[in-house]
Amino acid sequence: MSDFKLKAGALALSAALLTPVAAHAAVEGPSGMDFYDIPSINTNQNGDLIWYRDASVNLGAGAPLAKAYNVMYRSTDSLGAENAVTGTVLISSNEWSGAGERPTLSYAVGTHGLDQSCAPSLQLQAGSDYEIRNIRAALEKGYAVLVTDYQGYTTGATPTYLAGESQAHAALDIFRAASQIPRAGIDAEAPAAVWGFSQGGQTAAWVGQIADDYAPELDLVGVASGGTPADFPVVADYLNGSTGASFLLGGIIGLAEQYPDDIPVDQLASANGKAAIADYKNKCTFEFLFDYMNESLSSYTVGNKDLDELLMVPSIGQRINEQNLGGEGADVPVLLYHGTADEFIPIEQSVELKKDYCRRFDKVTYDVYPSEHIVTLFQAAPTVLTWLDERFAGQNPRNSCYSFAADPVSNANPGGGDFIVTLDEWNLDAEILLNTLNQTVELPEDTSITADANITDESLVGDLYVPDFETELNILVNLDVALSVEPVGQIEATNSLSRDGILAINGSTQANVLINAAGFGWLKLPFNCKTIEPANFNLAWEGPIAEFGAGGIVFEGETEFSELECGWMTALFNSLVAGPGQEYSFRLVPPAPERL
Amino acid sequence: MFKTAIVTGVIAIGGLAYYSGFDGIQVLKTSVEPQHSQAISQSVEYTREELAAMTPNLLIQMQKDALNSAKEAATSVGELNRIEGRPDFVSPAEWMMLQAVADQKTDPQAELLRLVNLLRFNKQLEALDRTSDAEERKVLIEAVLAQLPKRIENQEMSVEKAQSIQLKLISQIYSDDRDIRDRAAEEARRIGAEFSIKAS
Repeated sequence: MSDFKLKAGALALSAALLTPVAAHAAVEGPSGMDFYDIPSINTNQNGDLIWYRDASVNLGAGAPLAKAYNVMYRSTDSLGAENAVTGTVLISSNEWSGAGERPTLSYAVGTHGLDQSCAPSLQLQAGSDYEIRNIRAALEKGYAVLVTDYQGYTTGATPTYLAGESQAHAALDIFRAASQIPRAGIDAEAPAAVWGFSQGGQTAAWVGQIADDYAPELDLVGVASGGTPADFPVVADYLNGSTGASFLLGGIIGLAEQYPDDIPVDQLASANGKAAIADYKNKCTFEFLFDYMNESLSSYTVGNKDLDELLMVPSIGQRINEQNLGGEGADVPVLLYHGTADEFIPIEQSVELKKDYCRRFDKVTYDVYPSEHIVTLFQAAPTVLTWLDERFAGQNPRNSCYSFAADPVSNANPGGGDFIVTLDEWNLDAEILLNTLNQTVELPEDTSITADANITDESLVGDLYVPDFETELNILVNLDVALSVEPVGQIEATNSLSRDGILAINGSTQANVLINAAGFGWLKLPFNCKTIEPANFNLAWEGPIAEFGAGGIVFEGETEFSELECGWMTALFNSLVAGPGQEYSFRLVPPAPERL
Repeated sequence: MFKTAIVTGVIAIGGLAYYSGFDGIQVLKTSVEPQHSQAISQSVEYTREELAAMTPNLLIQMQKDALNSAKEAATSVGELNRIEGRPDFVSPAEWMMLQAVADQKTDPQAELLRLVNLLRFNKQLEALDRTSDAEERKVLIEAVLAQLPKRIENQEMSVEKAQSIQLKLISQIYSDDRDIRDRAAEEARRIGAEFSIKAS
């Protein structure tokens, strides 16, 4: 790094180097927000622990958490300048069941926002961090989980959002810092991995490229990088004026913070742009996502210069291109994964990253999800954690470089309009507990919902599909019964996504129940029996957006089956099957990924 | 024995489905002709093997007889509070199925009693669809109305559903709007619902 620059945090830290008030050692930090003030403590090396404290984090009821710490540690930005980074260290209460020592995972978060209150460490404290579900999943595995805030959340600083190397340094140095916390039990030599999605995917991939040089002492066994912005000009063009336009604005602010001379945002921004930047810096993800949706970069620039014009400015173009991944190979096995319907980060440039790594004979596993960005973030967790377990176990990864599968192509909804999340044949894991028969009928595996959840106009409209199926009814020594659930009309619901990432769905769907045939084994007799009015199934759910992708949305309730028309058996079936109190449970599950 | 029981159920259901008039039915023939094709004594108990041997004609006749018995039972309003053997309004095939379902509950006798009462109620509703005799209909309607509170108490029917049945039936036994309103209000009270009608 020849063009060495000092940043605000680095200035404070460098000043401390001149007038140390305490020798470097594990120092317990203050409570409250004072912890985020950079202290005058001397440090020697990247990853040195500046201070730490016991942390109170809220990961939800039953989280497998034994102990948590906040840390501030020394790192370096993309230009090699020293800085101070905050973060959180989480020790699982679950025993590590694999071979060897308990592994340590650096979980690299995605976009959180530029305001200090958006810092992952503060949001974990408040229980409002939208990535808690993935962090919990990693703790369930028995890993120690380290969550860097990245540079820029100390008091008075601004994050260098999307500055790839700075983020990778922060994600690597937290391994060193965590091992210095007294009695935390984190071994600096324990097997290590990095996992992140979106901004975190960028971080993880950067770690893969620089780990050998930056942290050669680490036993890094792999990096998992999802929703990865690998080709910045391509991603910027995709975001400009689109659903994810706010991430482009944030990226410009963040990179200008890292490269103020080369991206002179004060000179580039119009009055409108300056107001937007000031406002943006006070917001977290689910606030600016909606406030700046579909805006073009030209609406913020002097002379309405658009993205293409800005990228033509050599200093800007150079710094933007420096964030591109794939210029170097990965030092460790890499898991890349991406959603074909990703409306923020196009999948094609992620596939190109895979090819870049493959050309260097790196070990790359590539998973394709049929999902959009936010869904993929959470849907991927089980698969990613299995892949990480295999790395910790020392197994060889599947190398997708040798796959003959066709490259995945985007089927994302077009940008520039409403923010629509399409549920394309999402599985409905559904069962109905028949009240009188006291018997659970599971709907067939291929039961699905196809719908558009329009986040902008807060509607959800779609169709339920239930194939005909057979089950046993406990009417007479387990009578085999051929059933149909015949949807009536469309699913109609409202949906809303709050500014703290809470999704609420409220609606209903209706269906008739048909008993088509009854018998035993091969012997089936037609028996066309049908409810005279459709049953109504309320679809109401509220919870963190993470549950959307993680298959955690469960619609539960009771419905009433109307009388059935069953010929001379009408009265009997109305006595055994019709009536209220029929409990149902519908779990919404995104379609499975494919490994190339 | 097990398979015989299954085949019995299949034949019984199949036979009944056949006579329900649905299209495309496969007729399941049995090799044994009924011994009592005309007069079926409902009080007679049949073994599963005997039921399995019956023709669809005979099974359907049993259903019809049971329905007639349910219609006749409408004159004695009120829930049965105990059962000793199969009531006349429960066909032999139904009896076997109700017992099988009730046996899965912790208190099979209580469940069987509940199911028998519910079946009688449903048969009386069904009978209403199958008769046009005014006097018969009136008797059936009163019987059904009388049993609705119990259906709600047993959580076999929602209040809303019960009220819609009330309104439908009451309008069939009165011609005067005021009588309909008064009776509807009275019946609504019995099921814990409110009845109001806007003055036009």
